[in-house]
Amino acid sequence: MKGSRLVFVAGASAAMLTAGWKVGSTPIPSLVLADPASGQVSAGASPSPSASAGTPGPTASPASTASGSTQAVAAAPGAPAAPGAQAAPAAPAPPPPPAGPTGVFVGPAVATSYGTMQVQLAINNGEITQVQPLVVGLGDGTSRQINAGAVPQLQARVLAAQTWNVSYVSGASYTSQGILASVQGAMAKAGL
Amino acid sequence: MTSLGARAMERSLGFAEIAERGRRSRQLSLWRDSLLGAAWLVTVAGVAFFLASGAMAWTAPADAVNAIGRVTGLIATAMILMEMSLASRAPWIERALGHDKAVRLHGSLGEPVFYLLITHAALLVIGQGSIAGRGMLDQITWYLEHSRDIALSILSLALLLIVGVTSVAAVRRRWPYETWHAIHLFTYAAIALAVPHQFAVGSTFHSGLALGFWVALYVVAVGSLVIWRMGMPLYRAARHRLRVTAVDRHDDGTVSVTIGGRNLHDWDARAGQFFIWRFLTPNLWATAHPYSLSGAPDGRSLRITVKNLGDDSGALRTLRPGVRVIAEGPLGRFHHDSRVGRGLVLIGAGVGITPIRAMLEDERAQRGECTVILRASTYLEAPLLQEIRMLAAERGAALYEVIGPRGDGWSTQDGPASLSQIVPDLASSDVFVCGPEAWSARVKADARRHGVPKTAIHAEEFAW
Repeated sequence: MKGSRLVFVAGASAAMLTAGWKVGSTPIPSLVLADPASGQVSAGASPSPSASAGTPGPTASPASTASGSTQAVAAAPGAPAAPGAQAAPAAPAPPPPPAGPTGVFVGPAVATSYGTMQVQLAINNGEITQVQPLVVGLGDGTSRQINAGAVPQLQARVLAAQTWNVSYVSGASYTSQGILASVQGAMAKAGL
Repeated sequence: MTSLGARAMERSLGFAEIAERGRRSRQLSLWRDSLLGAAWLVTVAGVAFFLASGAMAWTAPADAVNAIGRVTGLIATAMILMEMSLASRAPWIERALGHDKAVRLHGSLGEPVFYLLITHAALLVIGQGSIAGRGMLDQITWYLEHSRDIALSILSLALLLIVGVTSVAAVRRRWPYETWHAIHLFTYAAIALAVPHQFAVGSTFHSGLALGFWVALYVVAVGSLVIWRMGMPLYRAARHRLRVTAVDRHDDGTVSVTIGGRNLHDWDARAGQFFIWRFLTPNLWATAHPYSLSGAPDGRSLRITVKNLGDDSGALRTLRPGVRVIAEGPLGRFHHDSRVGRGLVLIGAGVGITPIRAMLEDERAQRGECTVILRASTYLEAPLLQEIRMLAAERGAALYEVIGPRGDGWSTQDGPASLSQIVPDLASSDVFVCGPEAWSARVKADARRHGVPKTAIHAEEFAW
């Protein structure tokens, strides 16, 4: 190849690699992960096995002993309304008794090619009010980048549709599959 | 006398034509460099997209293993798409590189790609396995049970392994080309099986620009292959309906087959090029062979001359007029449009004289001083001798019949030792050489030694 053309190709290569490197080394927005069943939100990368209670459920069992636990913390399928701390139903006019479950339900840890995915659902009277990621995939930059984009979208989709059966986020099919399977498991536990 | 003749010839060449040849040569060089540069830059772009995906932000040693595993897969993918383009016979490849160089390049990429893919698989099994706390075997089993896409890619690699091993065996044991080629076709199945995991699992394939980039590469490579390798022969078969019109057996043991068809004038074949021929008889339809045209195409028929090499080439003697023919081509850069110099040297050995004869028949052989050298062991083994003598006289070309046992170089023991002894202005001539590879190499070395630039040496070796 002619010298000047060689220089051009070398220059273009260097420019592309530098640009790629620059883009790739911008800080990755980190996903906010919840501690399992604590209801509190922390920015940790892995779920701590703290078995804190404080769940807004009626039968707040202080369960969840291990991090990968698939045990529902506040399993109360079909339980009557809680006269407890939260007092969601208003006092004066006696409303119809709430039919749905209430509490925090931890989904199963789902293994995918891109690491384990696990969520917990906050459910109030049969309505999913929060989808909190507990474990999300691998720790490498690419995975974190993809998950940081995909998980909020999945949360929004589940909240809007009130079901695990929503469409995958394109380009994040493994994350979608894992997260939604965990949502499905948690919903099943809640009897939804 | 000679120098006067040479000057007269040169005058007949004309400045416009010399300028045109220079322009063509520069254009070709630019085109070829662009192609090679593009191939390189495409690979670099693949790596740049990989970097841009945050691949280098590691939090654990296993992330580094995974990252290297991924990038080897990406480079291998880019190279596989190049190999597919090189095998496609697309004109943008064939004209820039020439068929033999494209085929050689295609072949030379195979082994490195294979090793890259093995590395890719091994590193990702180790890396992802170590994150999940699984050993290599466990991880592979896990993939097979949990990911259809990766299971398919494992199958793909296994298939490639089988193709690789059997190809080596096929070459070692000199199996027929067709057997080797049939095995080789499984590579396409392997490539197809690996596509799902690239787009579903491949983290670098997911975002807009990178996704578009890889899709575009696939479109170019697969598109070229489908259009030029598959579509074009079918189109030509339907349009031209080639049939054998005459079979002439020569005394020297060669056989000339004339093939006619409809609309041949719009099949842009040039004197000196070759086609890959398939004769549709019960014995021959399964095999295809490259044979040069032994006559300048006249828009009505094509002619090849084939020596009996003890394989199917012998069976061509039994062809009858009327047999249907499928031809792929024209291929090769062995023609007058490739000339960059003033003079013209046409040198052929044995049956390698066929494209030389075709080029000599083209009237452009008299544009610039023309020297024809015919090399054979005995006169009995010099095909088309009478025709070449007549054409040389007609074109005003100097014909040297270098006949006899082999000497030290490309010539005989008492023949001319070098091209420079018989070609007046060798250094500014184009040298077209066709013959056995080792002999060709000696001619090329002789020409190079006497100042013929690389771009002015044109060789036709029947590389597949």
